[in-house]
Order: sequence, then structure tokens, then C-alpha cells
Amino acid sequence: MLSVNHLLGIKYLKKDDIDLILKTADTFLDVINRPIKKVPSLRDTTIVNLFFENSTRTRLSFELAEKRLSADVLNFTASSSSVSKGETLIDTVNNILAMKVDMVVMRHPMPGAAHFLSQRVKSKIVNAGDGAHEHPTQALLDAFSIRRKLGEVAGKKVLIVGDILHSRVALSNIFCLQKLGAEVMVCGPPTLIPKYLHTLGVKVEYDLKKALLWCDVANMLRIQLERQDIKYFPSLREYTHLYGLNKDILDSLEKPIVIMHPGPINRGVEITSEVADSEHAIILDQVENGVAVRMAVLYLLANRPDVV
Amino acid sequence: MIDNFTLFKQVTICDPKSAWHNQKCDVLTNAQEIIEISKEINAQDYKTIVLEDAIISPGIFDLQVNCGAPFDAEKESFQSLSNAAISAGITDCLLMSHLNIPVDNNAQVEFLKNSTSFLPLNFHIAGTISSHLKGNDLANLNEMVMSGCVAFSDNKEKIQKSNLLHLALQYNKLTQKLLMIHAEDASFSLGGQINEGVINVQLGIKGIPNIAEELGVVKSIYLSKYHDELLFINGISTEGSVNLIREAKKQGIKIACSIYGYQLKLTEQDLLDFNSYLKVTPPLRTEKDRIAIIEGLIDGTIDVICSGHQPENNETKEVEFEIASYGMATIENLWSLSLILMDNQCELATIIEKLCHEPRRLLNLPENTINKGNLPSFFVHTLNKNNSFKKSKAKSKAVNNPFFESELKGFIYGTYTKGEWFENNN
Repeated sequence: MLSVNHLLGIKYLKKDDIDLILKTADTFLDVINRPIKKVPSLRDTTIVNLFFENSTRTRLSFELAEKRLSADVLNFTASSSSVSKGETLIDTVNNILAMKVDMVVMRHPMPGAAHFLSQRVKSKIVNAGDGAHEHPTQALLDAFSIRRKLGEVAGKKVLIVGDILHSRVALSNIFCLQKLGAEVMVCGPPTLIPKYLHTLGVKVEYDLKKALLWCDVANMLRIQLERQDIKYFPSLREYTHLYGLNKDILDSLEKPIVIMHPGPINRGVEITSEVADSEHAIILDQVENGVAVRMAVLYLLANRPDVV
Repeated sequence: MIDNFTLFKQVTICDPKSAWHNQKCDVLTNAQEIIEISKEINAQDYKTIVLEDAIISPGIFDLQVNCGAPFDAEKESFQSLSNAAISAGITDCLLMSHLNIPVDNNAQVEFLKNSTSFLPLNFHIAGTISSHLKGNDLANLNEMVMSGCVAFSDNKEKIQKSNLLHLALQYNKLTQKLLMIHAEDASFSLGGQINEGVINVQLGIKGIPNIAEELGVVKSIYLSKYHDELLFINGISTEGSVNLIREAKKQGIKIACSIYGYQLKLTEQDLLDFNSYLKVTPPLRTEKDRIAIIEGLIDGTIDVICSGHQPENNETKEVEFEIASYGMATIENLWSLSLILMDNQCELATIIEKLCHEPRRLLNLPENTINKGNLPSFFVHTLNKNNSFKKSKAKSKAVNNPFFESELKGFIYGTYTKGEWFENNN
């Protein structure tokens, strides 16, 4: 059983929780590859997907995971809701819960929003991304994907490249990979790496080639221009020149590394098509694994007996 | 029984400016003056108050207080603020300009004085430095002084234009009132909400680096030196700021500063669960900064401890951290929080200086001391009892006090001011 009532972030999980989720996801990955991809595990459970921020991949992945588990699913987007009329988050959620909804999957632009909600409403909460705080299911599916590709996560060297400052994926990955025994390095423009990131025990490298030579896995992040209030680097052209992953660099490493990307990809910016579509990339495996991991999370949380 | 005479039996006077400092005495007072202080006064004809292990100290002057009223009286009315302050041993406060209704003209100053004059708490009014709190042009400084304004501050709005401060310091040669600023280079803190450090990295909340404040402090020191005029910095928060001000004072530069009581207890570590009640500006910093602040208070670098009382309601605080209002409403805890200094070998007399005497000195107001013939304005307290601070018993209307349901140091028996004894219940 999980030690938590909600999935708010990886930092609130124990290693045993992560192991349990990944082990359960193995089972669900088998399930979704069968001709009949559906199990009745969450029949009579109603889950609402509250998305206060744009999302395609994560929302679809959650929705599919819920449907594969036979849950009843409600979808909610902020632009078509009372939020645009000034309703508070708590009121919005309590109104939905009054319709006898059992679980809430929420994406929100503000750090801590899922944590805030979990302390104020009577429901199990799954954080589907909260500002630059955490994106726990992404980190779990990334760890799951590494494990499936390389056998295990412990002892592996994982590099995260790009906009670390604004990335909830980076933070959740750091927590998750470290808990599973991997070493983590980040690489990107100094202006996009928080000054105190080293306090989390990660290595920091500004030279992409050196970082790539160090790693077994490179997770290429998207530059999140929509979150940047100022220009943190001169131009995308210069960024690509310094931190874009192309075939030439990859070939020069003279060793195979696994290429990951949480999506959506900006082809030609952080990664070229040649690399994204190469045998080294497991980007579409990540997407597939995401459904299994989210099924595992929902299944395990729904089966916890109570909400305190 | 002689009307209006009150006798405090066997109280220890803690007031470094009193001839009776550290002595156990009887104190007889009426509304107008302290009639007598002596080792023993015959009690039979007076209303007599006997309290266990009681200490009597001059009323606290809270040098930075915000009120909801008149714009947001549901957050805090003048009456509730007065009740809260009096229960906390505070007899005087400097009321900062409301952010929605800038106090930048004589009418506003007079309105506030008239609205508060009947209350037990003495409200002293700070006008704004800039017109409409916009940070562009000088407000009507002299006009406000004529109406009774005792200081100028743009409150928590950070004046970014150095030239405006330059002009204010020049013009203040006419008005000679305390100029108070928040030292922060806002261009460094853009979008930041908590301290830049180990916690902001973990929470994914943008950080405000120490140097945002320290650049503001450097600018203030240089401006003060250039004009040879006193400049007061509200609520410094970093070790670097303490060091800068210490060095400036050694050079004889006329710089002074305050900290907020809650900074003696709370650090960024307390923010780990996204508690929006702890969202303040400047942000809660590190334990190292907290220790530096304590050292700065003890060695005289920091002049004043104030509450920075900023009342808010559920609608502005019980929301996601990013959109929650800044501020804490801890006027009722100022004394208890200040007593934390005693854990660091700080004398009680030093705390009294920071809370009672320094604010008056900086504002050029008459001293308030416990001596025969002086106007009685004091509070009676004990160090041998704690204060169980409960929300249900709080006098302030504000909800944003993180110390509700806490056991805090020291207990205030009551406050004597304007001829009345306001006694606190247990």
C-alpha cells in the first residue's frame, strides 16, 4: 500500500512507494498491450480531470488510464468553467465533489496548488503538474521507461538538459531518480539553472558535450518560453547552437545513450528530428508507459482505505 | 477611595531610562501623571492592583502598522486594531499609508487622526513619500506635517527611482521627519515570492535573492551619506543587510533600520508546506539570516523591532500561495516574539529599548519613561508565565496570524494608557 493519500509530488513519496508504483505499472503495461485493454478495477469510481492549464499529452494519458481502469471520467478545463467568472479553486472543486466524484486529477499553473487543495477538500488528489513545482507522474513514467530500457535505474547516470528553472519535470525527475539510486546532472544555460539547485545533490554542467559524455540517459526538456517573464538567453538560435542535441554530437560520443523527451518536442530547437526519431530515442515508449504508470497511480490511490 | 488613582503594588520597573530601573516598587498613577514611585506606598485609599512577578515597562511603540480601515475595515477596523495593540502592551503605533487610499495629503492625515483620536491606542500617522504612492513625484510633505504627520513612507511599495529618494532627502531638510523605505531592487525580485535558496528550489516558487535587498540597502546608505540625513529602512531581512548597516553606522552614516518580530522565530524552512500565511515581504530568509538579525539587534545595528502588522482576510490568504496576499498580522505577538532575544543572552532592557524608546527617538517624539511626573503609558507583564494565544481570544479581526493556538513566551497582565487600566484575562 502507498504511504500517502495523495500524489502531490515525488518528494512526499518513499522509495517503497515508487517501487510499488513501477511494479504495478508493469502489470498495467501488459494489460494495455492485450487485445482487451480494459480492466474493471475502478468501476464505480468517478474521477475528474481538472486542467487549469493547457495540456494534450498528460490529459489524454490520464483520461485513457482512467478509462482503461473502467472509471467514470469527467473532464474540466478552466477556460470553459466558473473559474473564468472568479470562482475560487476550493469552491470549484467542492462543487464537483458534491456530485459524488471520488478522485481529482489536477493540473494548475501555480506551485503548491495540489498541496493546497489536498489540505482543504475531502478527496484524493493526483498532481498532474503544478507550476514549476512537480509533475510526479511524468517522473514516474520517465523512471519506468529507463528501467524498462536499461534494466534498472540504480547506478545510472541521468542528464536533464534545458530550462531547469521553469521545469516541474526536472524537479520531479531529480527527486525520483535520486530516490531510486541514480546520479543526476543538469545542463543548460546558467540563467536557466537555479542558483541553489546543487543543494539537491545534483551535478551542474554548462557544456552539453561534457554532460553527454558523462551520462547514460539524456532527458531533453523543452524551452518553456510561455513561463519566461524575461529573456533568459539571447535567442533560440543561440540556444540550439549550445544545447540542441543533433546527430553529430551524438555520433561524437562514441557510446550509446538513451534519449528521452517529455514532450511536446520543439524539433530543431532542443533536439533534431534525426535524433528524436532515432533508435536511441524512447520518446514514444515514454508516452505508452505513461498510461500504464498513471493507471498504477490511480489504482493504488483509489485502493487506499481512507483520506485523513 | 480616591477616584482615578491606581496603585500597582510591588512591580519591578524595567525601563533603562527610569531612575527606578530594575527596582521593585509601588507605582501610583492617575490619568495625567505618575504620582509616586517608591518602595512602599500605603494602599488603603487607592484602587490597588497586585500581580504575581509583575514587571512594568513603558508602552510599546509599534513603528510599522497597517490597518484595513478605512478601505478594508472587515480586515481590521481602527477599533479592533486598537484593542489588539492594547492587549499586547502597545500604547502607540505608526500607522502606515493604506495601499488603496494613499495618505499623501493633509485631508487624509486629518481624517485618520480624527478617526482614531477617541481610541485607547495612540495612532501616529505616516504620510507617503510619493504622490499617490506611485514612486514618481513627491507627495505634499510639508502640508502633511502641518496636519500632524510624523513620518514618511511609501509603506511596502518599493521606491525604485533613486532620484525620488534623493529629492525626498533634500526636501526633508524642511520637514525633518523620519523617512522610511523598503530597500529592495525590484528588478532583481521580479516574480519572486519567497527567499531564493534551498526551499524555493524544492517548491518551484521563484526566489527573491538576498542581493535584491542588499542592493537597496547599499543605495540607501550612499544616499544617506551624500545628504548626511537619516534614512530608515523598514524590515531588513538578510545577513548581508545587517553587515552593510553595521559598517555604515561605524562610519557615522545616519542609517537606521527595523526588523519584524516574526523574523526572530520563522525562517524559509517553515514554508515547506506552501503555507500562504507565511508569505511576507521581504520573504522569510534562512536560519543564518535569523541569527545575524539577532546579533544585529544585540550589538545595536538594528534599532527597532516592530510588528509590520498587515491584516488580511480568508479571501486574500486562504488561496493558492502564488495569489495569496503578502503579510502577517502579528501585532498581538510582538512582545512574545521579541522575548526570543532573551534566549540569546539579550537583556530585557535592550528589548525595551528596541520596542519602546528607539521608535520615539527616531520620530523625535517625547520620551515615555516610568518616572514620577510623567504621563502614564505603560504595560505590566511577567516572564514567569506563558501566553496561550488562541484564535478565539484574539482581538484583531485579521485571520493571517500563524501563531494562533501557540504557546508563546511571556504574559502581559495589562496596559495602562489614557487613564485606563486594560487588563488581559488568562
